[in-house]
Amino acid sequence: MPDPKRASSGPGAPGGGRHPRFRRLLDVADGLFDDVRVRAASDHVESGCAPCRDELASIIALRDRVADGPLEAPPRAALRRASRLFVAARVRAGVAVVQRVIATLVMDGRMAAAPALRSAGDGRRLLWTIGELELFATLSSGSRGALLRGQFLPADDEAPAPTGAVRLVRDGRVAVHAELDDDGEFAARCLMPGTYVIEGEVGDVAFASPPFVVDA
Amino acid sequence: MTPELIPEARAERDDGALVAACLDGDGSAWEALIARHGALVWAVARRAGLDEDDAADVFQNTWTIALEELSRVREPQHFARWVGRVARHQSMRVRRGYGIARKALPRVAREDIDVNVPDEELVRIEERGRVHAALARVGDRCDALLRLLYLETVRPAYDEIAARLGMRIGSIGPTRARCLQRLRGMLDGGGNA
Ligand SMILES: [Zn+2]
Repeated sequence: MPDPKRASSGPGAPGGGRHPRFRRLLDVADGLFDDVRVRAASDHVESGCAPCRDELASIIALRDRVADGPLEAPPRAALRRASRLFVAARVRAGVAVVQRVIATLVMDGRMAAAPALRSAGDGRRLLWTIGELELFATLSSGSRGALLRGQFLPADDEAPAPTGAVRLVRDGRVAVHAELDDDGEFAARCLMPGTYVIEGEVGDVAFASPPFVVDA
Repeated sequence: MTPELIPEARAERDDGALVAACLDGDGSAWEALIARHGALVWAVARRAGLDEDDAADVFQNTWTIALEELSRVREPQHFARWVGRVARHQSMRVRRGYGIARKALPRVAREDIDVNVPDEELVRIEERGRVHAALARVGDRCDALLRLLYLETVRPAYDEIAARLGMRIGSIGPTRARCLQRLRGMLDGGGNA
């Protein structure tokens, strides 16, 4: 790339001769004086052409910077751990990639009576869609309040279970906080009657459900 | 013109673009930032006199902070300078013997990072880090050629370089000039190297 301050092959230095190109000045810097063109370039600089002298100095400085050598590479294990941070942060929703969505309730039905599970007779099945995820839950009553079991299912059956955490908010206050287990499941016990919302961060989605009522 | 005369161009993203891509959730941009500036962070920790284990802690803490603070880096195009200062700060804390508190550093250190403190040692490492990063972007052939020409204690003869790199002897001179010019362009290019 021609330097505007130093027309690359114009006539005209005080000592005569053309301004040498970058390559010739680099040859001078590298001491390749066997070539007559390099000697001519050197003579040109020696004759007092200030721009070429500056350019040669800058080329030598550049070459010396390269000669300082590369920095020592960090250990591979350190690089690996650092690169994993990104995925971890996504899971924690620490990076601004979180989509905020409202869960949609697509099913709220009574459970079929299951003879083997005595308590199942008075429960409900609920299914929400949350972006690409589905949240399937069963709500059953017990002597010490209701039990909600939920499982997040990825849209793609082959995909790993989502990770994250959910909160059950009753009448505006967090009643239960639960981390998803390795299968994407959670459970919330001893739920008092009231109006609940499930909210949380799962995968790269932050969501909140519409309210639903847990009866006495 | 033979292909070997043209140093291969790489459509590399500059640091500002990488930071923006990270914030968009692009994991490959994060990997690229670490690949480009990891050596700088490591060098800062080692120059601070830390052993490998402590340097590894500083390395991890520095990138943890980088990730958490990414959206608040004021001049993403000067990411190298910024991450170098974070590493410097982390190293100093470890060196002062904070011991157990080391694990909690990412939370406490970020407000203390004063990017205006001149620090000649850091500037020198940064400078080498910039050259290091630029060499990584200048193309494999250029990188190999410049290393053979300027890094070997005894510079190999041109015919040996030609044999090693599969180049014609006559193209070594002009190619090295182009490579250095490209390198200079990257180093001058607004801190993107
Ligand atoms: Zn001149």
